[in-house]
Amino acid sequence: MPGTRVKIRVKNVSKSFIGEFGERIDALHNVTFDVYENEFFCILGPSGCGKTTLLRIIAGLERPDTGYVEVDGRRVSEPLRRVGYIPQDYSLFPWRTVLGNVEFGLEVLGVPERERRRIAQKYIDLVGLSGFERLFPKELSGGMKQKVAIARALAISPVMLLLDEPFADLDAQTRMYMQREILRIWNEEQITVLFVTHSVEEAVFLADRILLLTARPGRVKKIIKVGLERPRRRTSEEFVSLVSKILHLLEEELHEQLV
Amino acid sequence: MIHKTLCVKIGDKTASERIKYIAGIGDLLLSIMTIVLAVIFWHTLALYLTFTGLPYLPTPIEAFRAFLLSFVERDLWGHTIIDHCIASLERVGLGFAIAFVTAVPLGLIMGWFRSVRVAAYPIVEVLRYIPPIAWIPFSILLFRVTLFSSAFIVWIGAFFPILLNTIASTRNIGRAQLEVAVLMGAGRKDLMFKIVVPAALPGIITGVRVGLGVGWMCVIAAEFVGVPEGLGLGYYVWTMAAIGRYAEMVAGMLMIGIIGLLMNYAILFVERRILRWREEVAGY
Repeated sequence: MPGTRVKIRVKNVSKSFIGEFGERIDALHNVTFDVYENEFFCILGPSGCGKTTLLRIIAGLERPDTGYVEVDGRRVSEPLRRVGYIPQDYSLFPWRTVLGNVEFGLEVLGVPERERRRIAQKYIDLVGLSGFERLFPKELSGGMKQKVAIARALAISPVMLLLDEPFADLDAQTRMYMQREILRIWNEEQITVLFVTHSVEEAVFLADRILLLTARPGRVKKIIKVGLERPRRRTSEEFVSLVSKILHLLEEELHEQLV
Repeated sequence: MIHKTLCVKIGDKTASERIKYIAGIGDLLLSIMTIVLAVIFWHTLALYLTFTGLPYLPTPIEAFRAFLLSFVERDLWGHTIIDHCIASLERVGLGFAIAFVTAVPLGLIMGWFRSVRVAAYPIVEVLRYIPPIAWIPFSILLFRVTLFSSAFIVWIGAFFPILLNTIASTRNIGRAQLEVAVLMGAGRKDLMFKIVVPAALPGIITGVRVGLGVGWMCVIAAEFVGVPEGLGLGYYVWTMAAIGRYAEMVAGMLMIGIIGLLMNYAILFVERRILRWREEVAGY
């Protein structure tokens, strides 16, 4: 359950890029918000609103033009360490087995082999991939690859998890299953999760709070506290009404974008 | 139920297995047929040339006989074809080994650091269009006619395919994979040896395969010009032609081809084992 200590502070962050034809593309404009310790925090917005950019800035993979990001009270100026980052395509290491992938982070952190094996096995079991340790990523389905990416990210006891639309490519059933799984893991691991998505339903199902971004350039449209008890029922009245409320806000955005 | 009806069983194999099996036999027959046709063509041509008194071409039978005999018969210098093979393989082995240990690290560095690549490209671009054969006089000036003069040519020949393939595959490494690794705590050394090297491995092995093939051609060419101790397959072919023993000449050519083929298959075999993780492994 979320604590009260601020884990991530994003303050007045703006970012623009130079486009293909030399034009300026504003990705983010003056974004400010806090994420609390152990919070499940979703970043929601229409495509192209700078969600991924925001996540990358928080991770230190990109620098903001203005403003700053603090993690655990320290200014982020270079890529963070010990962060479980899952990009859209999972980016597994195809030359490593499931076990090898999960062990990667422990290897670079210098954990001795026996200990490494034990920890990796623990997380492979946690995500439900026992028995698949020796397989290579090419032999796995999309959902299983996703699980490997999660196990790999968790194995290093990360300071937080950054997930970029991790379930976007999964079919509807697998997606719902993975959503329950990520909640279960988050519950067991007590970890701050930043979860980027463009699915309102997904955000409402998962998040403690939702950051709703506007269309490009991304600004903070609203921060929504999802007060629903877990496990949440997608068909419950409160759930549906919150989803439609957020959809309404998004439609406003879309309308403004088109006009 | 549907699954069971779809997999019609023929004997103890399912239909799809059976089809694969039959297709395999078909392919094999087709290959054998081509070889038979080629040999018949060769034979006819040889006979025709003999009757018309045009340039002499040994028949396949003569060539095959010479090929078998070359294993036991000693030539003018007392060497069998095996001695020649060993000498050529030694040269190619040395040259190739040097090419591997120079081209792979350089390729990784050039692929990884843009500045090194930009700095080194002019030299690479100038040198790589000089055919290895053009280096033979230079090599003999440098090393005289020794093991090293041939190995040098092999090195030149094998170096560029390995280098260029290594550079290309290093540059192709997914940025996201590197970022994931960095955020997990990987340092520069980890990135190099745990991400860049394994990710570049398919390209490196392709370069090795091409490079070894080119190196093999190079050693034969270098041996045409001169060899120490009268040993080497290229030298064998050249001298047999010079003394009019054309069947032996063709036997030597066959040997060169067979060794080249075996080297390629050896690399493919290694490739399949090392790159089990890859989606597909190059065939021919």
